[in-house]
Amino acid sequence: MRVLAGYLKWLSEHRAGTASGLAVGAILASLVLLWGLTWNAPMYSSTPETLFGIGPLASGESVEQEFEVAGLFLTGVEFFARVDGVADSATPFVARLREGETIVREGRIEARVGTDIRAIRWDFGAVTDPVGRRFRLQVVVDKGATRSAYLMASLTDKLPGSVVTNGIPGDRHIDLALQPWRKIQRLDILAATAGGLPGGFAGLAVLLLVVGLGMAYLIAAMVRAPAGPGMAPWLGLGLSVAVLVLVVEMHRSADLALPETSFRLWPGFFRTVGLLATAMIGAMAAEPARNVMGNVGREFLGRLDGGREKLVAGLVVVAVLASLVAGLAYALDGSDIVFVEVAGSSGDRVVQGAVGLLGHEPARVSSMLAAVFWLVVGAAVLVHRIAAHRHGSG
Amino acid sequence: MAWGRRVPVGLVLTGLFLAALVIRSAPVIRLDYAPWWDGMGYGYADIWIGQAVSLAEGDFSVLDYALEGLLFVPVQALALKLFGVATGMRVWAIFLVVVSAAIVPIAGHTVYLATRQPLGAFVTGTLVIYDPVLAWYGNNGWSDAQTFLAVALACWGFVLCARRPTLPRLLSLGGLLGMLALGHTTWLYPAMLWALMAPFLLATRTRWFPAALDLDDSGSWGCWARRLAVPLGYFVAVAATTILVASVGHETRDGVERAGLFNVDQNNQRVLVMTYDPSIGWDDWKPSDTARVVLTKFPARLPELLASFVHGHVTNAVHLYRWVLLVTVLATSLVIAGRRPVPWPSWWGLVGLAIPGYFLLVEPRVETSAVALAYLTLGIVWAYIPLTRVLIVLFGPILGTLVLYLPLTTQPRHSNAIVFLVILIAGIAIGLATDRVRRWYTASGSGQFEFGQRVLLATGLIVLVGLGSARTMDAIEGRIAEGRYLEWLGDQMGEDALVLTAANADPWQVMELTGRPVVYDVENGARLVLEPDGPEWGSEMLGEFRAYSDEVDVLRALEERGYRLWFYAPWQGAEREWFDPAVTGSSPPVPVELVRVTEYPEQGGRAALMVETRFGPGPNDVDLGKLPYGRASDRG
Repeated sequence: MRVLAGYLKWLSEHRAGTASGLAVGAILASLVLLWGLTWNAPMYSSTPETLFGIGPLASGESVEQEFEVAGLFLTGVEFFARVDGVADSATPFVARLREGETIVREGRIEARVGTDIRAIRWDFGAVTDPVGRRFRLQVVVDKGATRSAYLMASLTDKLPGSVVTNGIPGDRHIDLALQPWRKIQRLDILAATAGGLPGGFAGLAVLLLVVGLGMAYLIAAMVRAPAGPGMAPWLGLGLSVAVLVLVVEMHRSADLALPETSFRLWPGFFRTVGLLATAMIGAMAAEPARNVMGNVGREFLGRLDGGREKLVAGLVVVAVLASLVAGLAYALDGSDIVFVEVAGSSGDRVVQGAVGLLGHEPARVSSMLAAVFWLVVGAAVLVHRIAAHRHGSG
Repeated sequence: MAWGRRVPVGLVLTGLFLAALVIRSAPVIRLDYAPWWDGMGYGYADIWIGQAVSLAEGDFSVLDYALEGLLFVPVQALALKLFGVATGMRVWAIFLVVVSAAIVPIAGHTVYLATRQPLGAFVTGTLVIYDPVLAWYGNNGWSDAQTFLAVALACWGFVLCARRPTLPRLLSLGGLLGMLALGHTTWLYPAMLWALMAPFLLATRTRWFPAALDLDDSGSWGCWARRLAVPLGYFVAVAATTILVASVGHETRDGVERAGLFNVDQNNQRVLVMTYDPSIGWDDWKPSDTARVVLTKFPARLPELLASFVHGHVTNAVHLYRWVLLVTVLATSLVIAGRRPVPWPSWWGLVGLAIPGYFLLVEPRVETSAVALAYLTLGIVWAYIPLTRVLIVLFGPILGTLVLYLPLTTQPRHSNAIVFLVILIAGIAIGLATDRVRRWYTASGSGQFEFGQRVLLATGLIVLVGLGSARTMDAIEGRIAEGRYLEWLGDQMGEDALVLTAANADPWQVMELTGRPVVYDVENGARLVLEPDGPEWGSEMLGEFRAYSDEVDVLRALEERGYRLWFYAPWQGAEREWFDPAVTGSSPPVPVELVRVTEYPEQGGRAALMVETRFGPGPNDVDLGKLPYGRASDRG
């Protein structure tokens, strides 16, 4: 205990040393987390519907489909198949990834396929920069297939062009159901994240620098660190916290489709940074708030005469608190059903700010309770006024 | 201390206006919507454009006091008269952006006048900037742009009068209410009631308006003149406009002149009565039926309709609505804490507690927390902030009309007036709360409060203007790139080209840069045809095709006349593969394929597109019976 107390005393006396220690800890934690980081997810956010089968396809027959992706590192494509018959059988496919007439990747897959639809993933060496390129997946039922196969098709027309069966294009709205895939690790994830920002790595660096410096400023202001060269450890702490938050959010986004391009990663990053910043601003505002609350308390209670007025004032306080609880419960509950959708200027939906931590019931019940409290306040005020009036006239 | 000085409110309002200007400009420049493209495809703006063109050409017969857009069309006509249709429409677009942006500082100043705190003005302005309905319908060529302005000006005028009711201000308020009434028949009765209520409310202004200034004693004549000024100004404005329109305009539509100004919406009234009382038929309707239905049938349905209105038209039209409510309740709590001499409501305030009391406890139909919280918040602000009470009373007739017509015609563009009221209430509560906190804080002898507020406002304005400027610059770059593409497209086409365009294009720019005739918005009625030497609005080139029953026949007929059909749509990251012509307006949708003719070198994936002369098959020509596919006969 004495050692711990001594260490804490040292920390309180050497705040810059604490900042340096925390910064180093945050950097080490970031490195450990980055080492174990893997993104293994499809590149489209919606799974393709697989309602219709193209086939039966015998050995040598092929199906082709064009597709594009919006993020870096294409490492595989998933397609969906079933076969005639009862039991599972090993069905060989040859898969080719073409760009124009060039074969970019080629591979042979042997998958166990049965009568139910199976997802078959073909993994290949990463195509590092697939954005803006139009690829064509060709799947051929290879020699040795014992049963005819069906490759599943979609009618939602989400892909460019149409499915091509044995060289013959189908209707434009019919696509082969496929899902581009990305499985990347560590620095590739950093590269993919930077690729989703304007300016790439430079943009990511600027973002982390701005956020990190902001955090550093708030931390230094909170602990009232002296300005000057002594600020360096706090700057390091702010930057390392920003990096740590980013790496944690990268972990949390591991199973999302293209988290860096569709603003799935960044809301989490900014939410965490925002919560940290709010907590620090709250800590800094504590003293002025105490000052204000002291004045409010003195003013609020000091002007009331007698127990009856204090009782009614107490009821008002209860009703106000109940209303605030109701308001908070509504802010924290889930999304409302939208009957009339009002589109924003670019077709975006209006953001209601639902947090989704609570169900709808707490807000409804607490607002009812608040209404009851306010009615009690109303009744008490009426009684008080009538009594005061009688007392005054008597 | 220099850093403790008060925030210059003029600077805040100017910053808000600039922010609104750049934020509102971006979607118009990008052509998400514009005065000739309403962003939906209803083509309703064409009515006003057509009337403005006629008026600009000297045809006053389009003026009609029953017209929605009576005050909107003449101003638009002026722009077209001065600049011609092509340039005039762009000038009109800029004008609408400026007007819609001006509503932001007007709303902010309204709140500032009431609270004397710039933070309330800033919050109000920010919420108005991001009001999606106001942004959209204020700039998409619908006459609601004028109504939004009139509502904002009426509130501003009223608060100015509450602060200091001079005769010019009162007469101006009357005129502004006349402007509100004449813009749209929906607002006729509410504006009149507002004008009639105003003298009584303003007579007691010192009781509900904390920042009221004394007025010099002008004697009993001056007092009476001020009392009558608002209704007088209103009726003079309405009567003068009506007489002007009736004298220079055409003979009003059948029945309208007999019905009179206050019965111009008689068809709406017929439908209203039939909705609430199915025993009344179209021809059975009498004006007295409207009053009977409103007094006897409507009250029973009011709780259910009000809940639907709040849920369907308010909660989903304010960004961060639930947080706005929470902050409003929190701000009102601070107002309560600083209330003197006692923290409970006045007699009039107690009435407000009946709002949540009745709707939440007696009416079992409040099923959603969104509605419950709206009633609770409304009740609390009514109870403790007298100014909001007065505003709720003034907006009462508007709310009543909107709720009454909810089963029929109430749309977000109408109900936006109530959204505006909700924003004003939130801003006033925040402003008053800021004032209380400032008092408590400065009592501790520090100027940090003003400094903190300045930093907060400056940061907020920099963020708003920065975000808006980035979007506007992006939109401008996009339009410049479109211009380059159109010049290139013109080089690819032969002399026999006819350019069919999507809706989100500038048809005059397309013709100017390609030098070819243009069929604009071919997917929503081909609303405009432009030929190099033809009129800038109203060509009848496609008139004969309107009666066709097949869209493909129209395209074939155009080809038979020697045109080669090209298609243009602004670039949105991927090239169109088909389009859905709708020239006739009656045939079912038949998607038509587009063919890439030449690749555009500047934007990967973009090409010059021609209409596939075989016309099909398109995405909707699905023969599900053919699935799954049969085995192909010629294997590759």
